[in-house]
Amino acid sequence: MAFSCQPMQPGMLYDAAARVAADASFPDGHDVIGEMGWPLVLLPEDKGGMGGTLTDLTALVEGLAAQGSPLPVIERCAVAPLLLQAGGDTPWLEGLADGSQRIAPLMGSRSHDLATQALTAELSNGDYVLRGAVGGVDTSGDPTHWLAIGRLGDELGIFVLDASQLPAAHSRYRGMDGRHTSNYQLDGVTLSQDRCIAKGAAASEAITRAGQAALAMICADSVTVLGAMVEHTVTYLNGRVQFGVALSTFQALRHQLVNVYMRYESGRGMITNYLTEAGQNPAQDVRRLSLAKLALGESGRYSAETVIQLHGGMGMTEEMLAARLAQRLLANEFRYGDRFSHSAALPLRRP
Amino acid sequence: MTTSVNAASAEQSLEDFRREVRAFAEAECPPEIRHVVATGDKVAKKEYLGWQQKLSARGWGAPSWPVEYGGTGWDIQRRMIFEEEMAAADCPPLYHHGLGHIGPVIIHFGTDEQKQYFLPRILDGSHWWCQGYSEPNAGSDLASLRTEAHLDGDEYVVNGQKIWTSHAHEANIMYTLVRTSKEGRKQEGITLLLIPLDTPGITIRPIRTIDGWHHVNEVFLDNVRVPVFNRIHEEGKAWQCAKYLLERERLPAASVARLGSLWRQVVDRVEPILAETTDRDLSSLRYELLRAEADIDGAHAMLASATTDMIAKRPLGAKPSALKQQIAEVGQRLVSIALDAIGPEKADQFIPDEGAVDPDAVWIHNYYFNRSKTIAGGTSEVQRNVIARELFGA
Repeated sequence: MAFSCQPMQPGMLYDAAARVAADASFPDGHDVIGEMGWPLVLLPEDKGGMGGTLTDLTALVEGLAAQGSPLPVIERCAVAPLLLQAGGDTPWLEGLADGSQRIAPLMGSRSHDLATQALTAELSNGDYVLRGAVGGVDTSGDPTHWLAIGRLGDELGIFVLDASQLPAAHSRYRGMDGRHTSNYQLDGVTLSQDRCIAKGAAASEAITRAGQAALAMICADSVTVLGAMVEHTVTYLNGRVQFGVALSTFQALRHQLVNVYMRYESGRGMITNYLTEAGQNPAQDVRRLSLAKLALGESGRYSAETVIQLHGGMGMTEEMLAARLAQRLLANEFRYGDRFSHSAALPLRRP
Repeated sequence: MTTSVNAASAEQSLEDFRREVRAFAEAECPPEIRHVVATGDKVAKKEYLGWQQKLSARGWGAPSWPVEYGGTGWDIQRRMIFEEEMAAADCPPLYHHGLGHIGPVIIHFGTDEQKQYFLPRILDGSHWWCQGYSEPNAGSDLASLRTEAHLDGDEYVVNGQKIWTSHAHEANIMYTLVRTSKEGRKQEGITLLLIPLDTPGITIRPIRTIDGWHHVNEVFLDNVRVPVFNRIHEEGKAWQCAKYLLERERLPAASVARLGSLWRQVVDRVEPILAETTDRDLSSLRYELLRAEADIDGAHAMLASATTDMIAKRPLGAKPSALKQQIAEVGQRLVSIALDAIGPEKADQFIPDEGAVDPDAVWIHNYYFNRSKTIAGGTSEVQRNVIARELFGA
């Protein structure tokens, strides 16, 4: 029996996400994530959430990624809830829990160090004034509120903006994986003091935690895409006939896909181990995750290029899911820190 | 002796067990032996045997054997911890030919008399084994072997040639596959004989390999007479023994543990070179070392995943072959990094014609030696064929 990619975290959440990803009937602007209640996964039960862990969120990520769904589940279900929790019991946390508010991070996914996208925050006449640029913001799902990071002198703060307070995007792009993101320039957005939901150590800890969670989830996304690509390529090579025989009978092609499979198994093992053992040794967690991202970045580049090549001309078409998955994998390499930024941040020896 | 050891270990937590193994390794493994391992130098019989005798005296001589045959009876988690701690303390690996290969085959297929005779000699190292499998035209395609044996009274008479026979120059006995019948499929008619290497008619010649170390040999067998007592399992059924061994050896826990040690040794050597000011841009080596560390993490994770599957009796599929490949290829990359770091001057000083051995020459030995990791025990290409069959379903 040919290879069939099995999820790392099978179960109801995975099945639900896979069903949503397979249903292409949602109109643009429809908030699927909110309707499914997925932002509640990482919220504690006493805050109205599901009390889940990153392992549960992985199931969602897998279900969506395997079919190339562009839903911003990492931003809406990992980054935003974890930042929001730094503020304790706020109206926005309640709004997230009861589903009345759609809250997204006002930042892109270019670095796992979310603080690199901090705006400047100043106190002026009793209000905070935010200035600066943020880029690569995923605006899908029509958020009602945005969470921004602001630098208040030597410390960081987490701020809540109403959607109406955000200026119009000064530019908007389609990324290399087809995701649409926007760039904003804030030239003095004024917020009342209650809109700073956390600052100092509480904010910094939440920002670090959210960045690490996002990093873990983008790695899980990449592993899932790798496995799905192997499965789709096996199907393609087994079914496509050239010179009177299936392409899968050519050893050169088989071995190339084996190389991709090996990278998949290695990456899958790393993320599974991380999810299983996270929290036992926080310093090692950070290193392991950065190493995994570094490896998956390089593996992803190699595997995406190989899969495109193995599909021949069809690999160059957007029609092929495997090709779209390859694009996603290539783009993932640059999300939440590319391999060079992770390499730069890692000491050569383990702490 | 072993009963009390294992009764204690059954009640011991894994962390306590790890501490006990670590303390023993650090206290009992002689510094001169650890030095050979730590510097990446060639581990020979002297080092293997020196450590094996210490382990055997402690009751830990055969971690994977059942207690009734002198093993420890440890579960797989304890065996993995043992391997990790041995590697971390720069102790030599267990000598696989006796303990890992023929020992388990004798336990599974041998008669009581054979077990009584051979197993204690493996444990104390008095029998030092090598493997007579490969032949000039039967390497990866092992079943094509042509060394013949026929029964003459109560002895087999063996004629033929073996090649790539590791450690034959140090060994005193060879487990040997011979053809006793040409009928049927080529996997049939193969017999396993245990041949003492001091038997008349045996000639061992070294093969000079590119790594400059002496590992492998040719072994010529000319009318070599072997008692029937030394045949393991039925005549013509040795393919079952070979398959049993392959199945049993599918998860290379020791090799994964050793990979971490190799990484550490390479970093120990490369880090000071990176700190030097030279006219060479070696900055990419730092990235390559991190990349290798990530892949070692991956190998550990793959081993853990496969071990979980094995305990749950789920099929392992292509995982063992993928893991073998990963270990081999990461090892090759690591020694290649070391070679890059030591650079042009050291490349000129591989083996002295006159003068002292350059300590960095060990990295040239290792660089060349590691090329064999994707050849021996099934080439990368054969491994990829195995994985591809699993992936494509045919």
